[in-house]
Amino acid sequence: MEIINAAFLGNKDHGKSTLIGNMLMLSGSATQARIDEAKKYSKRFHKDFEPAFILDSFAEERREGMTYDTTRGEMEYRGSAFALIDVPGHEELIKNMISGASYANFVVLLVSAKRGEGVTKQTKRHLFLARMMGIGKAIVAVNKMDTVEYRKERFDEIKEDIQPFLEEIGFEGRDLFFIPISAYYADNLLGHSKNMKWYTGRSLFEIMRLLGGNGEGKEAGRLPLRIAVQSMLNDDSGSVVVGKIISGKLQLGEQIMVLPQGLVRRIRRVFVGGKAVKAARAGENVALGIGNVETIPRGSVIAGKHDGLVAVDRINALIFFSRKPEKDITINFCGAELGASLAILNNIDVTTGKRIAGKSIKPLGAADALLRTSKKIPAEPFEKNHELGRFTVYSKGLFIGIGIVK
Amino acid sequence: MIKQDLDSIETKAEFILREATSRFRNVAALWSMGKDSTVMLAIARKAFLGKVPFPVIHIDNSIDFPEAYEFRDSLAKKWRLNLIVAESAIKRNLIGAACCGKNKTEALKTVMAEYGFDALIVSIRRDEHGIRAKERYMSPRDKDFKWDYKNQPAELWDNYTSKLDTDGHVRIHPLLDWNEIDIWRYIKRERIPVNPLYFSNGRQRYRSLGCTHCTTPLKSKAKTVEGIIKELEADKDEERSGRSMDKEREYVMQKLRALGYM
Ligand SMILES: Nc1nc2c(ncn2[C@@H]2O[C@H](COP(=O)(O)OP(=O)(O)OP(=O)(O)O)[C@@H](O)[C@H]2O)c(=O)[nH]1
Ligand SMILES: [Mg+2]
Repeated sequence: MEIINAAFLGNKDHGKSTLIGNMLMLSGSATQARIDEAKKYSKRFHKDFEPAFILDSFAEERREGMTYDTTRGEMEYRGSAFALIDVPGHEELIKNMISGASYANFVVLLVSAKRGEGVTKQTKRHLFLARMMGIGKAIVAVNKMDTVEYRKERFDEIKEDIQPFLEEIGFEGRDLFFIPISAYYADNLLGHSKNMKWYTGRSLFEIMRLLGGNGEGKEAGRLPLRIAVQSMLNDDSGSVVVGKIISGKLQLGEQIMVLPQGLVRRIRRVFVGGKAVKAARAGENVALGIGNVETIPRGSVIAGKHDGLVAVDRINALIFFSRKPEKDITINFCGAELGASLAILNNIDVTTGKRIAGKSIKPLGAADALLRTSKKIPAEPFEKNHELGRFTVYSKGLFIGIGIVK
Repeated sequence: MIKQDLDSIETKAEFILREATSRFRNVAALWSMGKDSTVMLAIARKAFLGKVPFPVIHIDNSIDFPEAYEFRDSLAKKWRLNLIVAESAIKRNLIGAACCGKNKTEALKTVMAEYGFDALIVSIRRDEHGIRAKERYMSPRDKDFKWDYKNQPAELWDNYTSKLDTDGHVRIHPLLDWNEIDIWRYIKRERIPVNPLYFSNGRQRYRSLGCTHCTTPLKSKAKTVEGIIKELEADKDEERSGRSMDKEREYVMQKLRALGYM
């Protein structure tokens, strides 16, 4: 069955792992072995029971009560399946948060209602990153309602606190939901809580099912043909180009162009799953015979001959920095690594979504930048094609951020 | 246990295998002759137009089940595998974790060094254990095989960018997304040969194959692939519960993996 990916985001300690752990357990999706282990270690650390330990499996995670790295648990309930992606809330672990969240179809953002917790910078940063990565649907789950006597006023307060920011960055309308929950006591998770009769909306699971239902992904098939080249292979009748169709479809006999080389060729052979076929579509891994060619390097892109894709070396980008780069940076675009230089145009306050003056790079902040790449690449605006409109950024071999082509 | 769309997890595994061979200079795969690594090889045959392009390593501690050797030799011939058999010295006084950890890992280290492999395909799955669920698709190990699990590289979208900056190697995990039941459904769909030990002798069968020292069978009447799928549909226990290793001290998995055990 189809599995929808939901990433659970939010500040450290606001209850992400607890929520996922309980959802897995209540839906009957966690194995008994995992539950028993969580029980055993809860006892060892003198806690009643931490459902978070179903996910948090490293000794350090359990000892310190915080998630270090992303993981996921699969939940099946009433005919729907979700991969619940857990990420760390700690600021220093943002690269792990980005890794987990990048796979999400929608996000569940946790905000703790507990006094002194509430909406934080990190809450907003997580939302900003999700939006930047192209995620358009969000559920704001106001958690730990048990600590405020399940009072509606506190829920409304938090909702008002975060709503303007959500609108500013573009979460709204039918793709945005708010729900009061207690992750720990399982209020409003799968069913409807008796502790909050004032909330008459859907349970968390019901909202997830609603958001997951209007599937994406199928869109890729309707976009123009794009193939990310991975490598070349040799078979008995010559060499074939190997890659994944990231969008569109192709047919035997069709004319294609390889970028940035500008090479025009006809598709003479197509293989999918090791078999010769006549056509292939988005998502499939192909091997293509296009006559005699020199090696086509990784990072090259195959497109239809006439659809106007061009290679560029100056790119306007939005970049999030997980840390401050050294002078030299490299980017990873479509599987290829290349050198680049950056000119910051202005900063962006990730807690308001607003552009602000400033040309220095702030760790855990974002900026509009002009990126110059050492070679031409067939990049496209992210809005047009996600795969060709995004890249990861490195400095001295270390991951320092992600970028979106504007 | 969730049954996933086999086409989509197959496609992803294929993509990861192709990434591995195109990004690394000298790739090898571990082949335990178990169901997971055999499925991985079947996918590799599809991804690379009929032939597995990398050598496959069997760590032979010479106490494997005899059935396993027959299975190995016949499949290696049929699929034209480039098989490397690494003999592991058996230390009789070591059992369970210490045995798997020490014997097999030492043997693997020797082979890796001898051939200079910079990437190793390992067919682990997230659903096997909480610690495995924390793995990346590509994950660096240092020269002592240590896993720096507290500082894993970022891995997002299709950018499996793990790099090799030590003289270690990168582990490649193409089956990370698969569930046990998917493995069996795929075996059925693709008619992949499997080790006969997985099937019940009427009373019991092996759910996961270590070696004769630490694998204990579970009660089962499943004599066919369909039978196993039916059993799994009804079952919630993690399969490695049949291996004595997992009943040992706390965090044994984590320690072993940090030490380089697969
Ligand atoms: N009272 C109450 N406590 C909760 C609730 N949800 C979580 N907690 C507690 O809050 C603490 C933190 O929960 P976690 O689930 O570990 O938080 P997290 O968001 O995963 O934190 P990081 O992994 O560090 O980002 C734990 O002690 C939980 O038991 C809730 O609904 N009510
Ligand atoms: Mg957590």
